[in-house]
Amino acid sequence: MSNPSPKFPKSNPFSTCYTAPGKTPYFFEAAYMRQLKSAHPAKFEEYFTRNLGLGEDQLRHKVGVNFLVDKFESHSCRGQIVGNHGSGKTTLLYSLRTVFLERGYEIFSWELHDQQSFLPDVFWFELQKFLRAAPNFLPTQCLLPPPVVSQKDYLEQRRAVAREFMPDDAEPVPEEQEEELEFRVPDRPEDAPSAETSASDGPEKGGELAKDGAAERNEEPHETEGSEDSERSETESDQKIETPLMTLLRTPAVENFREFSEERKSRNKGVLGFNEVGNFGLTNGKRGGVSGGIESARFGEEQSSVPFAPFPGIAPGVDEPAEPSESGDDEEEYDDVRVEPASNFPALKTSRDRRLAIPTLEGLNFEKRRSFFEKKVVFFDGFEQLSYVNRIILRTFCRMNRLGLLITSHTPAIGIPVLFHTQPSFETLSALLDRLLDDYDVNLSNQRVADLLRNFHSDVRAILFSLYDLYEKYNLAPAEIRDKLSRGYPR
Amino acid sequence: MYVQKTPPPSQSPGAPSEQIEIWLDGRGARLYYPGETLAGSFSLSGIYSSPVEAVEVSILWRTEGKGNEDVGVHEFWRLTNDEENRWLDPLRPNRFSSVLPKSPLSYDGCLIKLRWYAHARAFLSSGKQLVDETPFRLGDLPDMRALKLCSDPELY
Repeated sequence: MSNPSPKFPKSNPFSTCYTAPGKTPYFFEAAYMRQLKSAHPAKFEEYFTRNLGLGEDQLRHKVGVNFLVDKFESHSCRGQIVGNHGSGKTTLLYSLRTVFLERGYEIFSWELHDQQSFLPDVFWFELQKFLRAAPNFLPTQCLLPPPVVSQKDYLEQRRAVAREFMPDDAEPVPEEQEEELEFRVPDRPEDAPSAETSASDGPEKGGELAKDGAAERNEEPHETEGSEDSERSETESDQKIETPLMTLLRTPAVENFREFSEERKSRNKGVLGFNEVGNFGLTNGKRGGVSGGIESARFGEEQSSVPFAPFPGIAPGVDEPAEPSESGDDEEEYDDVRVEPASNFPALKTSRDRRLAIPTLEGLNFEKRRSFFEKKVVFFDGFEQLSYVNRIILRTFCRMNRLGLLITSHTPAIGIPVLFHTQPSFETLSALLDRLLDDYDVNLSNQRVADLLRNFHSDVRAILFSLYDLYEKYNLAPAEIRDKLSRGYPR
Repeated sequence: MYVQKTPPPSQSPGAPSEQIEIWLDGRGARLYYPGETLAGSFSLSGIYSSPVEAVEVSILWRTEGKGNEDVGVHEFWRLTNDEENRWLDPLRPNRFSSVLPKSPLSYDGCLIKLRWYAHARAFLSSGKQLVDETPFRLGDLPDMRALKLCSDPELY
């Protein structure tokens, strides 16, 4: 019994099972390695001796990849790999993945499909799942952007939510009326038009709006409302119809959001711009004069002396100020918070979904909080396909949730440091072909390799596809025309 | 009676290396038809330093080509060496057999190829894995590339 039989032909060495990203390592050029050695001799020697048992190619690969991860960490866990089509960006990303895993990182990978310019809903769901799987999870639902839905679906969802919150004895509102109300209901109760002004607009609609405004004032009486208007609205509110939208606006979640937005408006006084370290955030109007960026603005830090946080999160050395708790409300709200130190599941749980599960900073180790997401990275392949808004959303989300971000792009994205510029050369393509054709009796001369690079504009993916076709023809062709084939293809 | 005990050979460069081998019974061409029983055996050799924890044997097909790969597992056995199931004798060949399905048939095309394999993988306690696989053909579909080229030699 012989094993295996020569009757079975070998696989095509340029099949995707051998050439796809992750199947072959990324080949670094010798010149790049020399640069690394001259710039960081001690580190180079450390990585070199650590991987001494490997072959030359693998050794070079390991050293280069480790340096790139060091560079990534030194740039606040953000970075991008820039290169043209088929230059090896995804291959390098796969190579980096192994080193990240060796260093204890948790990786969330996402590869954008062709012609896709937005972040799909499933991306956010999966990312949320990834964050929840982390120990000491901080709820981030409030930071997630709403899913993209059509206007029709949106109205349907609003109706479903309203039905859920609507009391049983309330009458349903027809669709047309609800759409009109959608654009008329004010964001804040004090902005609601008064009964007099709205009544002057028209007899029917004005009266309806007057009822709405009166209903809200009836629910939330203000100090200034002690006049005749309030009395009249109270009498009218007895006869008003309870609309589902009004019911929805009076839910605790909406009220909490109003309070939060008002507080934030009072704190976010400044100018958006780039600070001295190149991060985009809230400044005090002068370049270099930093007031703390998004996170610090949210937590209400001091305006002048606090630098912008280089890594997504809270500015270094500043304790997060506790939200002033009024009476014992927080204790009632979070009395079912329990700590499970030995568990891998989220340690903090709360009965209310729309509030953060951390009421105060008492008993929390700030340094420990800083390290919650330090070892979490988002790998995003195809960043250049995203629209401008989606790029901003992704970067902001990773920053606010203290996630690292490593992307691949065709052109450098602003605000993310460039880790490596992939540029295939004669040396790297020769090394790749030597590896693929190791067990085959096919040779490509140096002149052929140089021609391939020139004819395909350094697109290694296209070169491998054309070599696949050449091998298929070469393998079946009679011996007398094999030479002709190998000389003529690929063009 | 005096029995000479031979010490286990050390892992020197000249010593036989650890490996697993898998064979198929029957014809040398390894051509099988749908519904036929595929039988074979596998054996481990050169294993002295670390015991075998488990062996996986599978009959599967894979696609190769320019596009994405696809894999289908027709039959799978995992044999462990735990206390309840003491079966594994590394010194003797172990047998397996399975009835082959009706599809997919082996195919050799330009853009895609479908190939059947009998695959064996051994897990050593040292963490090392030994792999061997033997290809075979299911069905007798002609090589479409050869037909195409014979019909039109100008394609060269």
